[in-house]
Amino acid sequence: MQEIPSAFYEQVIQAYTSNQPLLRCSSIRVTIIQQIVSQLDPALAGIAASISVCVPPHQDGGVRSLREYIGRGTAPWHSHLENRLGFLGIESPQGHAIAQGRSIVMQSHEEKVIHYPGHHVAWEKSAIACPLIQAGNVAGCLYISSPQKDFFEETLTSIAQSYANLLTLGFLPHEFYNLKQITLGIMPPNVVQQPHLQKFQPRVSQRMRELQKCKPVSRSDAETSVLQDMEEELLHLPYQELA
Amino acid sequence: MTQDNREQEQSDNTYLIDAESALEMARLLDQDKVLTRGMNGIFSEQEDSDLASVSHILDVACGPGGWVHEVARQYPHIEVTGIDISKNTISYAKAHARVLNLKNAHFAVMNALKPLDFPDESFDIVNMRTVVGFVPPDQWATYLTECKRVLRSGGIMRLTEGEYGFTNKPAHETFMALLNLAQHRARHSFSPTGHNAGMLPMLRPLLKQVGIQNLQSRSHVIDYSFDMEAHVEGVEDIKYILELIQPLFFATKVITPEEYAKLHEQVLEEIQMEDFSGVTIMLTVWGEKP
Repeated sequence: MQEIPSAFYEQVIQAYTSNQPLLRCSSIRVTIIQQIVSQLDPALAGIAASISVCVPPHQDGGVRSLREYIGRGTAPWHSHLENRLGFLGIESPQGHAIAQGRSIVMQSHEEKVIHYPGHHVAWEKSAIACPLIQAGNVAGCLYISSPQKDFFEETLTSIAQSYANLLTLGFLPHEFYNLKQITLGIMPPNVVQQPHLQKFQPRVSQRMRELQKCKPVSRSDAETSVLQDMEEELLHLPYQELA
Repeated sequence: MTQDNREQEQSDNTYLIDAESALEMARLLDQDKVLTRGMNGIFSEQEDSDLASVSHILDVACGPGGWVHEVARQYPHIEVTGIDISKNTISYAKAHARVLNLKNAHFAVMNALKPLDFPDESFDIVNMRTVVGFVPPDQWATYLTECKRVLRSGGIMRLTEGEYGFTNKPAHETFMALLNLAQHRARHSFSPTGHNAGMLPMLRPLLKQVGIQNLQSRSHVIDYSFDMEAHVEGVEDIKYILELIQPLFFATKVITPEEYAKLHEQVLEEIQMEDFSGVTIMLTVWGEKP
């Protein structure tokens, strides 16, 4: 199939028009990521698609990292990719794509390793990173991996780009940042991040209790606060921990 | 569609969650995969050799079609049809079947609580998975009788339902208790008190009541505790249910919006704890039409 089916567009529009803003974003993101997996891997040969979002910067600072937010896959990947979610910086294809404001296609493992030696995805032989851009402002990145070399030929690249365009409907205006605000740091490899990521939810619960002493806060607010702290910590890990 | 048609469609739709919601459709597509994996496949009770002579299957209340797609993919010799009351849902299920290139998957808009638009004895298997949400207790006999009509003699009727949310966490347990109570108050439960979902003990009697014979059953436990593979899907499913179920909770007055806001946050916190344990029990009962 050469393009996104009209019924898929209709479903996204349905999600866009019928929900409250926060629910709308979740609905659109999960709907589109399911559609990508379905359309790009009808034969179950393997695909992994994930959406990364810009971590909101402290006050007027720049965007220092992305965080993988949601993912779906078919074997050899797990159907839900949330377990691998981590922070991404300029060392990753996703980070590079949003900093450049353009899509990046890697048709082989060798090609990727040359440019992104620190970003390893198991089973991946080719990949595409499409920034989510609306009117010159960026919200995140769509990243799709295939276990086949040279998978992303012209048609699939075009479809991936169309899905990336559609995904911009799944973000609120304040989640977009001008390309000039993208000042990504270098994030440590996922294996180094894992011990920190495992403490994420307990820290969110603790942060909620602390913040709620002053005023009511949502879990989402507490998550953002902890994400900003963790981003800072990971960007400044001591050398010993990185070695 | 005219306004009158839309209103008629909405009034005919007895599903407890907004079935037209894009989030619900996305949730059901994910849930189909989780259930199929947790139940060791689409026909865990049947050997492939049992299905060699099967050529037509009906899936009632198919939602966005995840089960139908999987049957069509795994058994290309079987023509499988899904029906659902929602036009949008069927249109979406068809679109997925097209991108998946499944020519043996068919879909139709149909209200399963009314006479089905199929001739007698059209199908070798009639499948129903998690339909409790749309069939009120007093309509089960009529509903199953109609499903039996379209099943051929010797064909198999199979019903799968779950009892959800057995957990070691208080807010999650409270949430599940409220869900059972809300279903009870909405008259979508066989539980005499609303203390549980109430379907598991009824599957066998309901099938027996309409004359299905040689009844057998098989149960599966889906463990979505923190350290289990299904945890990540379980967490996402609960997050979506927490949003989608609110209209039912408030309509049935099982909790106030203010109390719910607190409970919502507590559930989200608990399900991410390292010592969180939760299991769902799925039961399939099947038998033959004489």
